[in-house]
Amino acid sequence: MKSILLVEDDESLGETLTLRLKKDYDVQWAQTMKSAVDLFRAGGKFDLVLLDVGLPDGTGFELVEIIRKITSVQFLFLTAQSDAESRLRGFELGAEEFIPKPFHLKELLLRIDHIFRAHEPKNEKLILKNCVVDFQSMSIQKQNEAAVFPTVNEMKVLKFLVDKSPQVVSRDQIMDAVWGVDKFPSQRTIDNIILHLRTLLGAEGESSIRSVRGIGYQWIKNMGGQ
Amino acid sequence: MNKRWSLSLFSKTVLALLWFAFTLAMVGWWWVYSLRQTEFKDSAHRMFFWEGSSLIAFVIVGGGMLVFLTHRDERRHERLKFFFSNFTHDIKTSIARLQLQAEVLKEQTKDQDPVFQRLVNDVQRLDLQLENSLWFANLEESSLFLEDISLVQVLDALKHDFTDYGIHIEGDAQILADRRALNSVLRNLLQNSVAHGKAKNSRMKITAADSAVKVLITDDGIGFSGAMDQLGGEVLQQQGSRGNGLGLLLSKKLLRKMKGNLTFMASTAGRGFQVEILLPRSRRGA
Repeated sequence: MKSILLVEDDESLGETLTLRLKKDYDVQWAQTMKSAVDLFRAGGKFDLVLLDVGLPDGTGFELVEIIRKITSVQFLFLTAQSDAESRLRGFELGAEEFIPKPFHLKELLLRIDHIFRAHEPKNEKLILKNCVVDFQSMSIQKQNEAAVFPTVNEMKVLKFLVDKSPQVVSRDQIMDAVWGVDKFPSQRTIDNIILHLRTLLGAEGESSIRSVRGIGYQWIKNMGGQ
Repeated sequence: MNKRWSLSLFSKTVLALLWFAFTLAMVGWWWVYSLRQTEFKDSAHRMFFWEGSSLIAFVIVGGGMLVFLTHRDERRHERLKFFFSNFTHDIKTSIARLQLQAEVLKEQTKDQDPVFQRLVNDVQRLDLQLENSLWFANLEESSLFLEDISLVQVLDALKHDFTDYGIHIEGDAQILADRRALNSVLRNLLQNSVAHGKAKNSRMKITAADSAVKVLITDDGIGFSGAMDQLGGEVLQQQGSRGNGLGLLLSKKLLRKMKGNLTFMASTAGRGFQVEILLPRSRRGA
């Protein structure tokens, strides 16, 4: 069972939330910054921290700065202080979410679930009929052949196409996802990468990466067999 | 925030002090220079002495008052801001407490007692009214945090606010907007459809162009038969209907602040209400 640390100074809110969250998670509740820090210093292991910003002996931001020196746990802010500056500071500190009070119980549960699912270790291998693409080791291994290592950008383009499948993605979307919005490689660069990827994937390359005239490319799951 | 606030307080008081020092130095220099002129007769010398002294006295009193009043105004502003911040925190925490208890109770009630749903709806309405008042009280000064947002995510989240209302979304796009402000705009528009339009469903159609994203919201309510150009333009006199147009006015102002726009489309009574929202498109695209 996943464990959650709730840092909330409001008695009623903290108690109700702890009781409800305990149905799905292992929950501990701290009402002050000091007690939360003590839990971590005593070796407490948590998968997620739900933090209020206004605490009696400090702020949630200060607490995150202390916790970050002890562990790299995920955290989300659950606070009535939701002005632009606070949200910016929260995200700068690496918050997964910034949920303003009052919140919907269902929405909070969905977001917690989403965070846990997003951080689950994923199978980073794409198994095709005649080859295996390993996104972790950034390699493509054909049957009875030595593994080949495409460039980082080539692997990023392939991953983007696979993740977006069955959606057709434009060259602009690929550029934004792989190079970022500030860099502008030519569309020819994308076409060359696709050409090279098709060659590396062998017979399945042509059938898995479909060119969509006037738009871009599409990864075809059924033929590629993801 | 506090650092920025103290910097602004420092700047305003220092500006007043600088003006005071500069004016006093100029007047003082002029006065001393005039008194040193030997070609003046005694009467002229006396006149310069008394008029100059009076002018310097006025500059000292006036300048001193300006610095004092600027400082006092800033302190008052600071106290007001502090009060608003505490008030917002306390009242929002109280509403959160109430809403959470109501939602937990609703979840635990097996036969879905409608009273709990009504309670949740009323708490949400209270929160929307509070949020509108807070935005309105501080709209000029409040800054926005523009971030890359998936529009469908924001629209989808509204289903938690309006559980008995049908929200049908077509399309998606990435936009550049303040999540809290956009949420207020959309909640106000839907609340308007529910409370005044008696609508049961809204269709939200998203279309993305080069630099902007359009959201066309159409409800199936009774529409609006009044003067369309007054909507969102000012706070209306209450006539029969309970609304005063504050939510729509605020929505328009918030969208303008996000470099977007809100247009109320021509409506025929009995055939629903339609609004068009324009928002800047994120460079990352949909």
